Parts: sequence; C-alpha cells; structure tokens
Amino acid sequence: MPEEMEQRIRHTLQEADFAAAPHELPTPSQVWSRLQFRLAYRPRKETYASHVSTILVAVYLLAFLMWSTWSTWLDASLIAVLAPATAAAVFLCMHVSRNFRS
Amino acid sequence: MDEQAFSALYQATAKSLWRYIARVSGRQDIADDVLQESYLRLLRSGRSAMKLADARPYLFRIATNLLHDRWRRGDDLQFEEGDEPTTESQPDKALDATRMLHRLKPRARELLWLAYMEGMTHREIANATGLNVMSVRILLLRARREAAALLTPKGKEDA
Repeated sequence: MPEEMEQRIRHTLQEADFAAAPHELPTPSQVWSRLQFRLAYRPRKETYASHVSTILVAVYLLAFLMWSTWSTWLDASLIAVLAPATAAAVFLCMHVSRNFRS
Repeated sequence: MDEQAFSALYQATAKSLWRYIARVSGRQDIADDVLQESYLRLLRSGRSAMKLADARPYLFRIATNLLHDRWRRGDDLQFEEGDEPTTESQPDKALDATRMLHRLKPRARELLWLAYMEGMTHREIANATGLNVMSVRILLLRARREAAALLTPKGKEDA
C-alpha cells in the first residue's frame, strides 16, 4: 500500500478522533471507589452452602417420613430428626440473608 | 493492588483505552461502561500486580472482548448515527472521517485504531485482540484496503 494512503488513513482516524465530542473521564479516586464498591457487593459466587442446605433439608424430609410411618421408633429418633432440621433451617436462613444483602 | 498503584495505572491507560472503545463502538456511554468493567475485571483477575507494559494490552483485550460480547448479545448498535463531529474548523472533512470510521467493519476499526492511533506492533495487536500474529497481518491488510477504498473517490477507484 502506498505510503500516501497510509498517511491518509492515519490522518482520517485522527480527524475522526478530533471530531468527536469532548469527554471528561472520572478521576482515578472516583473509579477506585466505584470499583471497590462493586468488588465488595458483587453477587457471590455459587458456594457449597446452598448444596449443603439442600441436602440437609432432603435428609430431614426423608427422616421425617420414615419416622412418621414407623411408630415403633423411640423418642430419640424425634430428636435425631429435629436436630438436622434446625441446623438446616439456620443454615438456609444465613445463606438467604447473605445473598439478600449482596 | 492499592489505590496509588491503581491511580498510576489508570492515568497511564484510561484515556487511550476510552478513546479506543468510544471510536470502535461509536458511543460514549458504552465507552464509559466498558472502561469501568475492564478495570473491574483486571482487579478481579488477580493479575492486577502486573507491570504497566503487560497491563495495557491486557486491558485492551478485556475491552475488545467486552465489546464483542455486547455486539454478540445484540445489546448495542454497532455505531450510533447521532455521533456527529463537533469540530467547527473543517466540518465537512471531520464528518467524512467519522463516516469512514462508521462504514468500516468493527474488526477493521479495531485493528486500524490499534495500529495507527495506538502505534501497536502486530504482536501487540495480537495480544490486545486475542488473534494470532498471522491473522492480524492478514486482517490489517484487509482493513487497510477497506479504508483505502472508502477514502478513494469512486471515479479514481475505477481508473
């Protein structure tokens, strides 16, 4: 390609740049604070918490069904069912509130 | 990366990066969004401690990918008709320049801008766009031809 055309392309791009409306960029400190905010409040990545709570709830339901259909179980079995259920409920509440805050 | 290091990086890169995004996309609002998103991704990448010489092409690459993502999703028009020139010295000439940029394909705009306005080598352009060096050579040659065809008056082209 002739040198003259190379110069013309460069010149045309410079003209297009010069012709555009002026624009003021935000200052580094403004951008820094925006980015820090976005880094702090970005949607949390998928964690194991949701899987663990789902499994706990499933185990509770399964245990509850087994307990309710098998009347010969001892009272201890009720505690064994309610304990993971409480743990699952607390875990879920914490997870939901954390996601809601972010 | 602390605020001081970020400030130095931002001051060294933001202006040229914004101009690149704005001229390739043809829209200032997109340039603002993509610029901020590019720095955010750099900070998230864990590579924020890299040297300026490495961070610059990396930022251009992030910005290029973000623009491609937006176009692929169809979120943005590729060039805004209303991006009129503001220069008063030679309004017709400036309008021609903007129109020429408008008529180029997005990839051609990217490559020509990086080569002519940023003064990048083929290797640097390859790093900034994710293409290999051979593809950059070929695509840049095509982009030059495309631009030359737009800059050559119809009558002269045939002659």
